[in-house]
Amino acid sequence: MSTSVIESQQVKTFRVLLVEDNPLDVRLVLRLLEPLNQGVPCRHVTRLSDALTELNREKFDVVLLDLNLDDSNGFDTFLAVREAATSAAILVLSGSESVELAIRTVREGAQDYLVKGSFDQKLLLRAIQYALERKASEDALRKSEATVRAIFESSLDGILIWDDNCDCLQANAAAAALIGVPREELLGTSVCSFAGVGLNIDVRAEWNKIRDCDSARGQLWIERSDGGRRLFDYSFKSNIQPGKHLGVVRDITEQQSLEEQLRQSQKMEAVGRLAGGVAHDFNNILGVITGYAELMMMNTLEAEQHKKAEQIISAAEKAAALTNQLLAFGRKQVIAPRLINVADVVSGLKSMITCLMSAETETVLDLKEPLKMVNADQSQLEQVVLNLTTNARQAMPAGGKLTVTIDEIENQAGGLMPDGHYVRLTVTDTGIGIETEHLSRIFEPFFSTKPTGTGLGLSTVYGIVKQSGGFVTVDTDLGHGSTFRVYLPAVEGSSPQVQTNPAVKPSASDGSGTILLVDDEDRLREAVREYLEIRGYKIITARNGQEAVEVAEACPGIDLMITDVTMPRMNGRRLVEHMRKARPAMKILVMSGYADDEKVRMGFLELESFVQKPFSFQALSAKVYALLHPDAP
Amino acid sequence: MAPQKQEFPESKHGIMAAVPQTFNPDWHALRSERFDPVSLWERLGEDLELLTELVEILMLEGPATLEQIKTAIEGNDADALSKAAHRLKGSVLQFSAITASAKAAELETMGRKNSLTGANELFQQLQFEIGWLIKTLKTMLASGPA
Repeated sequence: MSTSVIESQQVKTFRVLLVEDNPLDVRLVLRLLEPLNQGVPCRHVTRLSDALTELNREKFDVVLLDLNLDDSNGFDTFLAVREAATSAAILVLSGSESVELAIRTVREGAQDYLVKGSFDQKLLLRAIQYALERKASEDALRKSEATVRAIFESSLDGILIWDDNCDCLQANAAAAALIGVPREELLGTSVCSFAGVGLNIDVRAEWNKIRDCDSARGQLWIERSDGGRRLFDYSFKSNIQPGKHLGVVRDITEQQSLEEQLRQSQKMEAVGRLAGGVAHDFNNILGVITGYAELMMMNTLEAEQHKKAEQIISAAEKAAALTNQLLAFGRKQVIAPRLINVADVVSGLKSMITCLMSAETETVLDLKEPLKMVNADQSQLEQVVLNLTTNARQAMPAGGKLTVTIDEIENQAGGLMPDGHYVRLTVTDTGIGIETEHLSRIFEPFFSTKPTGTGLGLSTVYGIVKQSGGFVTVDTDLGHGSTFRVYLPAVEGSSPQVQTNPAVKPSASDGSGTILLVDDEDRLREAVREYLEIRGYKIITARNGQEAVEVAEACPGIDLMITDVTMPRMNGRRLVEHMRKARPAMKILVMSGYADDEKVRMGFLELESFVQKPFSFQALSAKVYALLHPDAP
Repeated sequence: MAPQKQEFPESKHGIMAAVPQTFNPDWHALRSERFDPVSLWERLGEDLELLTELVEILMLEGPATLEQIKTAIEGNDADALSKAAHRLKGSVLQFSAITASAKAAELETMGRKNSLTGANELFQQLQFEIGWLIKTLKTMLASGPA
C-alpha cells in the first residue's frame, strides 16, 4: 500500500508500514498521516510476525514501530524489524519514556523515537520527513564508503593511513605486499622502521616535515622484510581527518631501472652519432693523406722519398683502424652480416683467448652448441669476444678465472630487450670488478680507468652488438669480478641475408674510359682525379649530385660514375636513382665511410659497386678497372 | 549520492486535513493536574471527528484493558500486568490524561519488576481515573467546539 505527498505538482509515493497493536494509537496515527496519503491508508499490522512477512514481501520507505506487541517486546522488536527492513527508515512510536531505550534504538539505527502523547500531526510528518532524508544520506554514505573500501582494497598502489606519530592505522593489501609484511604486522608499525634505508637521513625529521605540509610527493627507499630494497613513488595528504594522514605508494624500482637504461641508451646513441660523424670526416682526411702519399710513390723514383711516403701510408692505415673502431661504436662500420654459429666463432678464437690470459689465469670455455644461428658479421663478433676477454684479462692482473659460456635464452621479461629468443655469450672474470660510479660510463668511447687504455674496447663491443640488433649487460661485484652478457637475436633458418664480400684483388692495370667523379670533399676529389688520370682514365668532376646531373647531361659518353653518398644539394642516393633511369648503361661505384641502412637499401654492398672510405687508391683503381673491363682476365 | 529532498505538507494544511474547529472556552474548566484538554485539542489538530472516534475506542478498549490488568494482578502474572498497563498507558497518554498515565506507568513498572505489592490499590486508582477521564471526555464532546 502506498502513501503520497504533493510536491511541486508532482506526486511522490512513500510506502509506510505501521506496526501497532493498540487500536486507539492505530486510529490516531492513520488519521495524522492522512495528509500524506490522499485517502489511501498505509499498511498496518499488529504483530511482529506479520510485520516481518510484509517487509519480506514488499519494500517500504518508512516503518512506524511500536516496540511492545503481542508477540514481541522492547528492543528485540526493533532488532527484528531492522534486520528485515534494511531499506526503510524506522521510527519508533513508544509509550515508554525511557531515555535509555530511546538512545539505544537510535544508536542502533532507528531514525527517531517518538513518545505517544507527545506528538501531533505536524511533528509526526516532520519526523518522517527528516527520517527519510537521514536514511537517504546514510544510504548514500554507506554506498560511498563501500566504493572507497573497494578502491582501497583493490588498488594496485599501496594505500596507508598514518597517525601523527607516523604509526600505521590502516593499510590495504597492496601496501602490505609492496612493503613485504603481513597487513596485521604493518598496523601500528612506524613507517620509520622500514623507510629511508641506507640513505643516512633522519626519517623521523623528514616525516615531521612532510606531516606539516598540506600535501607532498616524492620518492623514498623501502627495505622489505626479505632484505630487498625498493624505490617507491609516494603522494601524501595530511589531515584527511584530524590526526590522520594519507599516503599512496607505488613501486617504481623496475620503472626507474628501465628509465636509467633508456637514458644510458640514448646517451650512448648520441655519443655514437658524434663518434661516427667524427670518424667519417676523419676518414675523408685520411683518404686525402693516403691518396697523395700513393701519388708521391708513383711519381718519385728516389728510394728515400718512396720510403717516407710508405711511412705516411702506414701511419694513415693505423689512424684508419682507429676510426674503424669509432665507426663500430657508432654503428657506422661497413659490415657483412651472415648467419653464423657463435660457438664456432668462439671455438676458432680458443687458442688466441688462451694466449691472451696470463699463466695464473684458468680459462674455461663452456660452449653449448646453440640450436639457433645469429645474423652478424663474423669479424665483428670475433672483435667482441676478443675485446671482452682482453678486458677480463686486464681486470685480473694477479690471475683468476675466465669463463666464457654460450647458451640460449627466451626473454619474456619485457623491458628494453624485446621478448624473443636470444643466443647469449657470457664472459665472466674473477677480477677487481667495476666501481659503481664507473658502471654507467664503461661503454662510452674514450672512457677508461686504465692509464694506457684507449677507452674504445667496450665501446666497440657496445656498437657492434647494437649494430647486430643485440644487447649487452654487465653485472659486477667489486673485488670479486664482473660478468658481461651479450644477447644476440636468434635467427631461424640457415641462408645468409647478405653475402660476405670477398676480398678485392687490387690491379695495377691501366685502364681507359670516361669517369664522372662526384664528391663534395675537394681535396679528396682532386687526389682521386689525379690518381685515376695517371691510370689512364678521363675524369670529369662534380661537387654534388645536382652538379653531376648537369655535367652528365652535357657529356653523353660517361662510362662510370664514382660518387660519395653524403653530399649537399642532391645526395648520392637520389643521384644514383636519377642516373639509373637516365643512364641505365652507365656503371656506378659508390664510396662511403658509412654502412647504414640507406646504403644497404641502395644495393651497393655487392662486390664491385662499393668502396669503403678510407681506401687505398690502388684498391679503388682495381674496382674501377673491374667495372670498366669486366671481360679482362 | 545526495539524498533526495522530500517536502511534506504542513499538518492540518495538507489536502486531506479536516477543517479546524475552535476550542470551546468552557473546556478550560476541565483543565486540571489530571487532564489537559488544550493540549489534547491541539495535538488532534482541533479535529472533533477524530476526538470522537478516539473516545469511542477508549470506551471500548479502556474497560477491556482494565479487566486484563485486574486478571493479571489476581493471577499474579507480572508479565501480563506489565503489557496491559503499558497498553493502557499509551492510550491515555494520547488523551493527555496525566494522572491516569502515571498510574498505568506505575503498574507497568510493578509488572516489569515482578513486584505486585500494592498493585490492587493502584489498580483501583487507575480504574477510577479511567472512569473519570471517559466521563470528562464525554462532557467535552457533548458541549462540542465553539
